[in-house]
Amino acid sequence: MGQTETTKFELDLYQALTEQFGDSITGQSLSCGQSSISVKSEAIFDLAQFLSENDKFGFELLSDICGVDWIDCPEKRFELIYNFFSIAHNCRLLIRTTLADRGDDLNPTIRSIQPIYSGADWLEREVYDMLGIEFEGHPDLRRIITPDGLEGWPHRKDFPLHYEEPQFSHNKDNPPEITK
Amino acid sequence: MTSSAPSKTMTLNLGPQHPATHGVLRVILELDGETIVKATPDLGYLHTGIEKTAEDKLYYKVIPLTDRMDYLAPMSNNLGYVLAVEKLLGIEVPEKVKWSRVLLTEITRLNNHLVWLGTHALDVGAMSMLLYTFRERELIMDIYESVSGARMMSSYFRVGGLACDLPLDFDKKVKNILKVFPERMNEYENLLTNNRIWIKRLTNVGRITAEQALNMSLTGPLLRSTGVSYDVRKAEPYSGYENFDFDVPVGKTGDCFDRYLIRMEEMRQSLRIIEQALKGMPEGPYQADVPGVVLPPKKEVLTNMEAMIFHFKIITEGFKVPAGSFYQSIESPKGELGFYMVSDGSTKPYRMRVRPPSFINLQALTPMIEGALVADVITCIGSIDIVLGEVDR
Repeated sequence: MGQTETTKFELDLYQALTEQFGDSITGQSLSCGQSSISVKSEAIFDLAQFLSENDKFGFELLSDICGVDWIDCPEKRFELIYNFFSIAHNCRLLIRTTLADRGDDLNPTIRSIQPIYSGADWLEREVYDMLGIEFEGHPDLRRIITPDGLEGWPHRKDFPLHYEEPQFSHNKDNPPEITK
Repeated sequence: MTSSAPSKTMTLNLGPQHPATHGVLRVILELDGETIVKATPDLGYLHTGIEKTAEDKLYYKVIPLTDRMDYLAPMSNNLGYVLAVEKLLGIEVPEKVKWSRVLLTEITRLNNHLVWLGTHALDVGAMSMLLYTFRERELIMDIYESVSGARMMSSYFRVGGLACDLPLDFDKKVKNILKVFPERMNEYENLLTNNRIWIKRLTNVGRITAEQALNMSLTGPLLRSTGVSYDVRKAEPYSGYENFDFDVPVGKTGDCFDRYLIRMEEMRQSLRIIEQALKGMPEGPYQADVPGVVLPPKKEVLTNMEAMIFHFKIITEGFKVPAGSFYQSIESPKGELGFYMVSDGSTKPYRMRVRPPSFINLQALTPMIEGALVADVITCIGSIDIVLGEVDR
């Protein structure tokens, strides 16, 4: 959806999604000519299944999963953006969903779409690693990039950018002196 | 050994210092004899927190961070970032900027594929290839140096244009590449394409099917080797790629040898694009006229008071980007490189998400090598074409 004009395929797709997931779709937004659909987080698995299995609207490729921390926003804390691409129809579809809307639940959970798109495996692990969002049903949810002993979630906005180096298990008892 | 003896597996730790892992990739292999039973990649040895660091930098200061991710294709990374920011700002760049960006990113593709070819062949045992490819890479490094002053970390593209105009001897240098390259490509092919050892080491190694590749979100030569023709330059043209005539090579079997052939053909196609871009390069300014975002020319700064003030304000305060979000994808040499930028209306990105092609393509390693031999691991890692700076970011 790089272009501003909406194609017939996109209109059909929106209609089909509204028919199928009418209650779960909370809105549709447009930013710089790129439109996206907001859904409730419970519907993500069914939606992914619909997109992968539907003959008419086949989205073969899960491009990306991106997590954003909206710490100062009163109505949402975390936002996940699922980025699907259909090669056959040359169409990009951004699905947004929010988690921990009241801001009190700091370890929110969402259902993993790894069983449908196996490419989601590392993408979900990275979101978990960076934001602490747990994916229910993921077969191997471990930290992927940061070390296992790290405390905190680096991409959260309350994770400090500059601070003392963390000490990991091999030198916890006898930490090296940090000179500044 | 009797058949009742329990089968024992051995754990082998490949990397992170092993040179054939192209950096600091660690793979924990569980072996039964020489056959791999299980492979677990372990990442993060080169994690630098670029996405987080970008949240604390002014928009123009993020550009040097981007080319430190995929340091073999710096201009492609610069391009993805500046296109995303330009889209958020609503800037349309002059034609000359578009054409020079296409030309330079295609040169970058040559650079990436040359390093890939040299190191891949070195891993597999054809040691002389590296010397040949690095000889040609020098020509490209010269171009980088003459346009940006740096041989690797170019940071040449700016939001709204280029850092400075193309140098006077640019045409001559690019023409030289166009002249010598086809002949040198034949040299590589003479050394490898019909080489029996090369064919034996690559054919039917690391095979994946189209369904597997799509399901694993693979892009770039890895996906195209299975027969799926997906190239962002054709699917969602950016920076004027719709004006260029080129083919997208696809493979049939999805093995390492197909990926080799595809990348070789991509280099030839890049040469076609470079030739067209050089021939049709329009005249015009090298940056858009957007006061407050694009730095005024140096001559103006020294003679004109407003220009001086703009220069000072952009450097110290940065420029504000309207609130919104945009996903911009480009075809980097390794696959689909995406920048998802979120702006809250301030002078720094609220969130910069990079869709790294190397990271996602590396997921294919486990299915490729399970059941294969240890020697094939090296072939597969080379064939996926990863840069750990981008995998770990």
